[in-house]
Amino acid sequence: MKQIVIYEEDYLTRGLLQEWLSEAGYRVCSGKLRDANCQTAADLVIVSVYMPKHAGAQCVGDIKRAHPGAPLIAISGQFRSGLSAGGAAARSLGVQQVIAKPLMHRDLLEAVQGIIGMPK
Amino acid sequence: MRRILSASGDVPPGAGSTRVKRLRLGVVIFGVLVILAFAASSAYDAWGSYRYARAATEREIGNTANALAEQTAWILRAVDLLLVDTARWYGSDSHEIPPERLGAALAIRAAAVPQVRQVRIVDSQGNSLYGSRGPSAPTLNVADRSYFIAQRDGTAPGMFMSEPLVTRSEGRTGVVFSRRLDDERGRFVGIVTALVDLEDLNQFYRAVNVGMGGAIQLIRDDGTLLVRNPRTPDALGKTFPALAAAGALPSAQLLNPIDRQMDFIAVAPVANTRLRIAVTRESAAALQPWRSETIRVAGRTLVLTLLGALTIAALLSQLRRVTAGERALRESEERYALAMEGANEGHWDWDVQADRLFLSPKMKLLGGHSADSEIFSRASWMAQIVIHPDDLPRFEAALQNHFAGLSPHYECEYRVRRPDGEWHWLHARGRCLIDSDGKPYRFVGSAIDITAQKSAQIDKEQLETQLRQSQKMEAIGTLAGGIAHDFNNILGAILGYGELALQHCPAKSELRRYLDNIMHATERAKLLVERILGFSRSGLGDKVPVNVESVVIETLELLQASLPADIRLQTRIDAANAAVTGDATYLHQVVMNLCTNAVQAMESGGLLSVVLDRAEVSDPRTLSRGTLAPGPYVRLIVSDTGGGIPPAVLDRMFDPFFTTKEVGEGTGLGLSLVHGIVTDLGGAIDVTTTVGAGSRFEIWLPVTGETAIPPVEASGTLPRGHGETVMIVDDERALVDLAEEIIAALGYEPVGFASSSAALTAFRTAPERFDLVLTDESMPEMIGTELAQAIRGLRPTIPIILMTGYGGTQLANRAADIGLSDVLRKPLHRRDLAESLARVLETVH
Repeated sequence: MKQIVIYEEDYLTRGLLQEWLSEAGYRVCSGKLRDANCQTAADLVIVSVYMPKHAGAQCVGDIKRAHPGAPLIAISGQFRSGLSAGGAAARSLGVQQVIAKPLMHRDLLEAVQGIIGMPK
Repeated sequence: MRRILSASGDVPPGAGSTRVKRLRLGVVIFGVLVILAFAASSAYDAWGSYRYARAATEREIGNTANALAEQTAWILRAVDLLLVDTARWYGSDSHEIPPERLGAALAIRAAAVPQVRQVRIVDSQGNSLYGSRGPSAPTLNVADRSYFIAQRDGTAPGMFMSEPLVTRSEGRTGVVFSRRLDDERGRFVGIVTALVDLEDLNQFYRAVNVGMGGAIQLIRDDGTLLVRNPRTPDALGKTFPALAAAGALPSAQLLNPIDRQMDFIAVAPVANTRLRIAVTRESAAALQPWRSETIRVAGRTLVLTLLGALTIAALLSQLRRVTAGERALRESEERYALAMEGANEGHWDWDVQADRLFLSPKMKLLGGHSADSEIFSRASWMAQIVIHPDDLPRFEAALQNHFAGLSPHYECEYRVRRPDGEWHWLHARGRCLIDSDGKPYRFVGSAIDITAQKSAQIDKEQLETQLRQSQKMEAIGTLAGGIAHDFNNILGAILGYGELALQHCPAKSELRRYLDNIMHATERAKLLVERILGFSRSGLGDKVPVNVESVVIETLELLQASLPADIRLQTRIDAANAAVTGDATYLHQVVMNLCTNAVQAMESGGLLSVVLDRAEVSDPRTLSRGTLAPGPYVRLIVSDTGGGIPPAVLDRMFDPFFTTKEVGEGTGLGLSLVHGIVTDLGGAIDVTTTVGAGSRFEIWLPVTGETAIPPVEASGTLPRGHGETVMIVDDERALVDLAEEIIAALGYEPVGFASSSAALTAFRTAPERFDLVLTDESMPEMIGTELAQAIRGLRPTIPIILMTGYGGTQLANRAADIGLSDVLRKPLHRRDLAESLARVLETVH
């Protein structure tokens, strides 16, 4: 089973993501950025970015170092809604995809499946 | 600086001192000459008065001598006459007189000549017969006397004068004159004598005032002193030949042997006698007045010389002071002029009562007049100057206040129009002087041109306002960004769990309806937060080159469709390949919001004008909101003919949630969104408005490159289909319809399904019906890739195109593995779709 690691400060969103992805069949480990103790190797990392235009971009680098080689999906309440998924914004942050909050269930699943495929 | 010097005086300092030196020399020479002349004239006068004094003395004593000589001669003649007459009488008439009465008769005769003391008759033996003073002593015999002997012997014809002798009869000093008495035969019978008492003579001489140190000497031609006044009894009878000799010399001065003094002497001979009158006057005494006069004159001359010298010295020192003063004045003037020049100030000095105005050249220039214009009174200055009408009341008031004593100093800033039409700000300061009645009589001051400072001040105020604005906007932006972040999390949870709840909710139930409403409300909230994020500038969008022209054209196309009938749209798009770096969606929002605002401003119709062009900024420019650095820009101008924007609104219209619309009609985020996006793109906004006429928004965006305009899609150039049946699957009905439309227009036969399960069922029913499947990825019932798999299972070779908003490159990479013919990115572009369809279908055939 594919392992997804989620870094999200907001407990509501964290719960929702956990619920969606678990239901879809993925193994999910989630937590806040500092508290997260997901040591397991991740097939995909979802990171919630605050102030993506400023300080937030730096934490992406930390996470990449923590999970070398794993693809990243960045989510943020400060992405323009409808931001193109794998476009310039994603590249500028150094992630594979960006998704703007509030997340839609199917958008997230599409993105996850698009990167790592089905859970099995 | 040279100009100033030459203006203040024609003479350079060096030449001045030469002139002054010559002047000083002239004064000294002149003074000395005057003194010399005065001294010389005094000396000449002294010499002249000396000569005069001498001459006067000599004249005087000469006259005196002559007069006395004449007088003496007369006396002698009188004596002689007496003797002659007495002799004749004695000879003829005396016989008739009794001898005792002869004395009396002689006395009578003697009385005729007061100087004669006694007349005697002496016989031929020398016996005194008769005397006028009574009978003489019978034994008085004068036979031994010279006067007797001379007559007896006949050695002295006529009258004989004896030497001074002492008479035997009385013992007095005197001189005896004698004449011979002859009988009728001419035989000597005796003499008649007349005794002249020298003392009596002296009495006569004493009456004459010969002045100080003067003396009258009666001498014989051998120098024998007979009479002297003042009396010197010791000298009488002595002989002083020098005296006699002096008479021969003209203007004589000699050492008088009698009194041993230097005397002036004049000698006059007594006619026909051996007598001389010598009048002497002591030189010292005679010249004493002259001497004292001369001393006085010398003293006066000295004093005047000293005064003269002092005057000259005073003149010279005064001259020195004057030149020093002149130099100091010149230096002071220069200093003042230079100070004024250096300070670039104009200066005025107004004599209030007489209305005489002095204006420095600089002051005239400041007032907009030429430096050499002739303005001499305030009246004429006020007539010729043009003061800004807005400033004029303040200008007048400042002067009146100061003159009334309300302000200790005069200070006023006002605008003056220069000949070239430009207005310049002047800052004038001054003070008036008040006389004893408290009325101002003199008003002086200076003024400088502060136009530069004023405009700098205005610029500074403008920048400060802008800074405050931008700081405010930034603060708001940070707040909004934070809000958007948190709200998106919350909204995500509501939408997410809501969606899950809906899934478990029976259709057409009340619960479903409630949940639907919750979702709708939350969707609205999501849109609102999107816009808040938009103006907050915290939102991360694309940062890619965006061709501005294409975005504007696209937006205008959309706008055109919804434009009210009474609003006309006028466009001029001319920006070619100009590109800005940013997010196309945001740019689209800018255009849209501006146009929407413009439309809303024209409630009763009007003209909406949209212009897009390029502009170059050469100097940093400050706009209503933001500043432009030099460089190339693309300019979007949206103007309307609406009601305009009042100033109060103008200040706040970019504030988020500020709206002039009624509550509920608009959230007031449109312009704040425009502001946030434009600022983020590095641009600026300029707003000009006229209340009642309309407004004009200028959006300046810095050009960061050139990108080709995406080619206009003309259906004609697109690859078309040939009626192939295309299955379209998308859970959003609207997208299905849109896709159907596009595909139909491309010449295909679209069949749309809004449900993946329905589509699969349809495919199972008639696998051969469809030539191509076009499916969305994210669908609730079955995602696209699953559907594709299922369909492949039914018909392995059918071309399947997947549409996805997400997944992107990863999905494309795995497309082949999954069995997809192509992956298309949403939103769908007509061209991409046409080409993909054509390509995929071609590979099949």
